Amino acid sequence: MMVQLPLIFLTDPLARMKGGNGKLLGNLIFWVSFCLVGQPLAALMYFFAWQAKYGSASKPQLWHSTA
Amino acid sequence: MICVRCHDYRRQDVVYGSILYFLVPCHLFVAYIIELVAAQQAKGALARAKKTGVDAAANSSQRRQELRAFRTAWHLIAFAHGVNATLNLALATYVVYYHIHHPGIGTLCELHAVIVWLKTCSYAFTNRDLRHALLYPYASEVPELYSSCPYPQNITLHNLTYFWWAPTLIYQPVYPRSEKIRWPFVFKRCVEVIGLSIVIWIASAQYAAPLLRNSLGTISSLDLPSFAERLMKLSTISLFCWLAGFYALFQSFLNALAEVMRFGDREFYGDWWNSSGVRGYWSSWNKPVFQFMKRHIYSPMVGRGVPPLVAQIMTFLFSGVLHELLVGVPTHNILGKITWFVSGVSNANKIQVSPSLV
Repeated sequence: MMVQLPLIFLTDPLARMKGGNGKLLGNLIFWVSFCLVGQPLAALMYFFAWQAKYGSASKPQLWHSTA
Repeated sequence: MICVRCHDYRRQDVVYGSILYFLVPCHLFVAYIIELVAAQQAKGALARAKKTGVDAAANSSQRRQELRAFRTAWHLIAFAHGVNATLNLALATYVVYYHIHHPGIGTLCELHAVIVWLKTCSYAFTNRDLRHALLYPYASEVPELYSSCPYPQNITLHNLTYFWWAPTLIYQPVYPRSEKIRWPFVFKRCVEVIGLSIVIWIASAQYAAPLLRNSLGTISSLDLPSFAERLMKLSTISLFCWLAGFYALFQSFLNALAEVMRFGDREFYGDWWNSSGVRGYWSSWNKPVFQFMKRHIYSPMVGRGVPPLVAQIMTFLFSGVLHELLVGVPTHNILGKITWFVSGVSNANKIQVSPSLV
């Protein structure tokens, strides 16, 4: 999630840049962060927290701290 | 793998969910009663002003007095609206967090409560502005579109019921409307919603759930390389589910609803897939919410002299809290991850702001 911060700094000027490549790069960065960091990580974190709180049929290894 | 019968939910969840489903819209009608009283008060004020001959040519001290009276009245009305709206959100959140275990039912209830909450807020704010325009026509202008339904006339049950079901979060006395309902169009959109829901359900049960389950070990053992591998594998199916859900909700469902309501403005999303940065994505993927934030949070703040950057941070923070409510409350985990995530979009000042919020 911290990755988002430098991403804003990186993509904001890119969006304002004249010419095609800046916007292309900004779009590329958006898509990579969207696909890899965005939903899968959020989904995994909430699933992990849910499992840690309520448990499930298939028990993974023990852990000591939640998230 | 997929089993309809063995899908497990408690009876209590359905009972509480149904109660919330009927209880939440009641707050919109309480807001209507408050507005009814406010409209009476405004009519009285207008009549008094006419009698004493206070008009547009009034001098500045008189004007200031008028404005003070308007503000006092607004504070009382705003207090009533605030209690009503907060009660809605707080009650729904409490019930979902403590009494509804199933995350799906919980999400539906919380989403419904948040939507009605935003609508109630917009109803109160917009009517405040309209009242202001009625009492002080020299200070503000009302859009041309509203002339067919000038201020006190819009406070009717019919008008509010239309807003309740219209696919928008921003209240307007009058909306652009389409000519007639194209039923074949509605039918096609409904088929899309049903088809995509089934597809998402199968995809998440068959592919996402097992992946999520076997990724747990990599988090608990803090095995970073295999965690990254799981994340990448998960990204395909989560992207698939997200895109299918996005299409089902923002294209199919909202268009079907808009067609049935003969609602003219169909801009529910922008071309976020072409956005040239992360900021562009957040301002175009969910237009109804973005427009609400712009109309009722960002613009009033900037209008009152808050620097645009600070106003942006506040708006993003607010939106982050709402996201947290929608995801954290039904899963019974207020992690603050989403708040962090969304508010991180604005800029680095957030690092100091967000954790204290969480």
